[in-house]
Amino acid sequence: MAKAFIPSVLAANDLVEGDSVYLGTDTWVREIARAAVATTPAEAEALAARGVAAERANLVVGAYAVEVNLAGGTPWPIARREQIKASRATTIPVGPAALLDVAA
Amino acid sequence: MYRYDEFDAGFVRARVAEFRDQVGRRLAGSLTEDEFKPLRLMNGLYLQLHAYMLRVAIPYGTLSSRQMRMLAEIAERWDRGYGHFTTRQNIQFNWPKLRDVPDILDALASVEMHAIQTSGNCIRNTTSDPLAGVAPDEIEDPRVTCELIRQWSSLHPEFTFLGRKFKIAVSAAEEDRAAVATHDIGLYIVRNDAGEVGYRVLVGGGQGRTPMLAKELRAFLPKADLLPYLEAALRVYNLHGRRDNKFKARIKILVHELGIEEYRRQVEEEFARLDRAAIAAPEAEVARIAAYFAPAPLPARPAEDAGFERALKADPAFAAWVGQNTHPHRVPGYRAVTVSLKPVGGVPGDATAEQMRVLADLAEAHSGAELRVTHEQNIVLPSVGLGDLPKVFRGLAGVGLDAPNRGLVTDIIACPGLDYCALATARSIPVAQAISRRFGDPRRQAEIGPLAIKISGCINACGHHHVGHIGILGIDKAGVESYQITLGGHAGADASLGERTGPGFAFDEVPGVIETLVDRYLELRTSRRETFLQTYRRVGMEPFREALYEPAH
Amino acid sequence: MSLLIDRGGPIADPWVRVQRDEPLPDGPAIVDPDRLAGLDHAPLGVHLPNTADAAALASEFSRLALISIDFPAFNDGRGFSIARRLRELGYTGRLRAAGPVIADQFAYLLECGFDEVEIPDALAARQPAEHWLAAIARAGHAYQRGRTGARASILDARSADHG
Ligand code: HEM
Ligand code: SF4
Repeated sequence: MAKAFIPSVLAANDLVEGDSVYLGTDTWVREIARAAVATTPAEAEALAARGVAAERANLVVGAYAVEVNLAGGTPWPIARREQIKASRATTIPVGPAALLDVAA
Repeated sequence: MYRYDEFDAGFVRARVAEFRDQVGRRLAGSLTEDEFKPLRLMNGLYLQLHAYMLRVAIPYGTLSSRQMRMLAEIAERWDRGYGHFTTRQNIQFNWPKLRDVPDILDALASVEMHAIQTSGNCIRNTTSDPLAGVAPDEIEDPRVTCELIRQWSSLHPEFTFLGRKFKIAVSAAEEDRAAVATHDIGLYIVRNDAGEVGYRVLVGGGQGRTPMLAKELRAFLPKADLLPYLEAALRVYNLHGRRDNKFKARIKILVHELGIEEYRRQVEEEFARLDRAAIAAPEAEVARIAAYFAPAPLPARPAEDAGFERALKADPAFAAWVGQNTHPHRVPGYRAVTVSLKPVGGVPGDATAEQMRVLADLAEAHSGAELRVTHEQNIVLPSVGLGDLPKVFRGLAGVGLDAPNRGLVTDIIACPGLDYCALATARSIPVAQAISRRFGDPRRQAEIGPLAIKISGCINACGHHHVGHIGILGIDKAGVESYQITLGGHAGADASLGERTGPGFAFDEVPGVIETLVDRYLELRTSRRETFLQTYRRVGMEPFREALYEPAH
Repeated sequence: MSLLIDRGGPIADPWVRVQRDEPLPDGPAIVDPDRLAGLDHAPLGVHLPNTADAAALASEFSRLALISIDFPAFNDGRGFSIARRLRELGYTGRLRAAGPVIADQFAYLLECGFDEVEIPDALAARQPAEHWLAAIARAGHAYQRGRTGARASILDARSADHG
């Protein structure tokens, strides 16, 4: 039996700024909520192809797919690493830290 | 400390110009990311989880006040107002933009600093004893050797594309404060039977997924042979180190697979063939460098100071801090001060621009304008007169840097982990913060005594967990963070690797686990003088394992 | 299909790399090391993989006009040490680095004893000869001693300064 397809978005880092970015419907966006979601393997391939093109065009580096959960209405990563990345929770002001609680 | 001459300055300027050009070619597309990556890494620029990260070299951990101020300025101008001091005695900035990096490197060059070879498969920043030059127990200042190695290893034409990173540490003291045995090459400065000073050379140490303690390569190497010998040792590694598997590419694996005898035979053969005189630094050059590290003429002070004695009696907080955070100095009337970057609940090793400036000012006013970074992620003010200690303490307290916890349970080493690091499998900073809060009471910390907790957010072991008295390794277990505990590691001259207690624990359980281990130790110790490590070495794993996994009801 | 460069810029390549069993041409020919034994040809060159033991070739130095060392990737630095070893063992003929090395490595290659670099066309298209010449022009000084080729030694310059 084929494994059920898990929806995904495409993540990368902006070449010039370094910020983590997601591929939106037209451009690369900072917020995962605005990322284009692939719900079929074909859509995932299309996102990946746009990622490769953007790398070639020296816009982003290191594009890769991130599996997401759509239960909240907008995409939210399944893996802890990607949740932390998407929440940008690490802008820790030094001192007694105010690390945001990452939604589990 | 060492000062650049025109050549050093020119070298760094040329390097910045080169990197500016490389960044330009990358942005224009004539360099691909694959080609650019090793070049940016050789200039200390990583791409991390959220952003680029710039690692700046602090050669053998020594900094001037002027340099510290520049780090503060960089943090404010091009980053988010803080930096992270690392176990490799460097500093990392977590949010620079690629287009700003050449400007940051120019700013660094203006204070004789750079980011060259702080990353990539090359010879990295040479690390050393943070008390170099002021410790009463050292043979000579190890930084002369470090500086020779720094220069020799900078853009070495033969060793800039090695199979893997290469780390060298040097210590000249009786007590090893540089974790020498965990480095690819470790050098102990020693005296032989004839009274000559030279090197005891170790090779093949490293942490990562296959931790190994270095083995002895040469019991005594004459000082003049340092660079040719390193050249021979590196060449054998460059030619024969594995390149098929990144995890087996460090020299420790080569030495392990060949056996130390065979590796030694090959190095000695290569060394015999080299034109030593052509490679070694000329004597005049060694003397030139050594002159920079000649002990500063400290004004004579009485061995006792009335003001200092009064402050000790009047202020218990000050007395506790002096007892825990200051060290004997080779000159009577002075102390070396460890400034803890581990306030209770804080991020180990982080300092704000404001804190950096206060450190720079205090060093300028009271410690010859010099500072050190320690591999425990703290800062040292190397030479403070007894009478100045109260002022230094007050200055530090003003910016929250007065924690009297050096070497105690809250003096935790933690790597950036999943909060920053692209390779991480678990968070380490919040684990450190939670443990630190749990043991926040200074009296309790003092009661527990020396205890080194070290945390890594993945198997790469940047947080030194293998050599923590209690080591914590965060892994990913089916998408959930899980923390493995090791006991009995140690990084000193009698180094040892920790042993795993058993199955790992969840993120929230870790502080309780540490508390259980500490409580067990307090029950087991024969007296307050027996440290956690000594107790562990005496009783072994079993009583601790029992406490963790089979608690009595 | 490749570009050959030395410190002066692009040069013509008179050498023919002879594949495994091909007959030898009349002119300069580069062969695999296992074909050297008993081979009577001049000018003769050999192409070494970067796992080769330089010392094993020492007895052949006098009849080799060129040694070419393979760089399978620019970040595989073994070739640098092989070149150094060949020079230290007394080889004085021409040394070639063959493979996708990059312009930023040109100075290091020269200092390790190479004379010339043979790069694939696709790379040459992105990194034309000017890049290579610019790279050595801006290379400046080096800290190491006992090597010549591109950067002058800072340590030697200091000794000269101080007499
Ligand atoms: C944040 C980005 C970092 C990355 C990507 C990174 C990467 C790595 C990797 C891959 C290893 C394993 C090397 C091997 O086993 O061959 C390693 C080891 C190590 N790193 Fe890091 N590291 C980072 C940050 C740090 C920091 C912040 C420190 C200091 C606090 C540090 C200090 C070390 C040390 C001491 C080791 C173990 C010693 C050894 O090399 O065997 N690293 N690092
Ligand atoms: S130990 Fe792992 S998580 Fe921590 S800094 Fe090193 S690579 Fe990153």
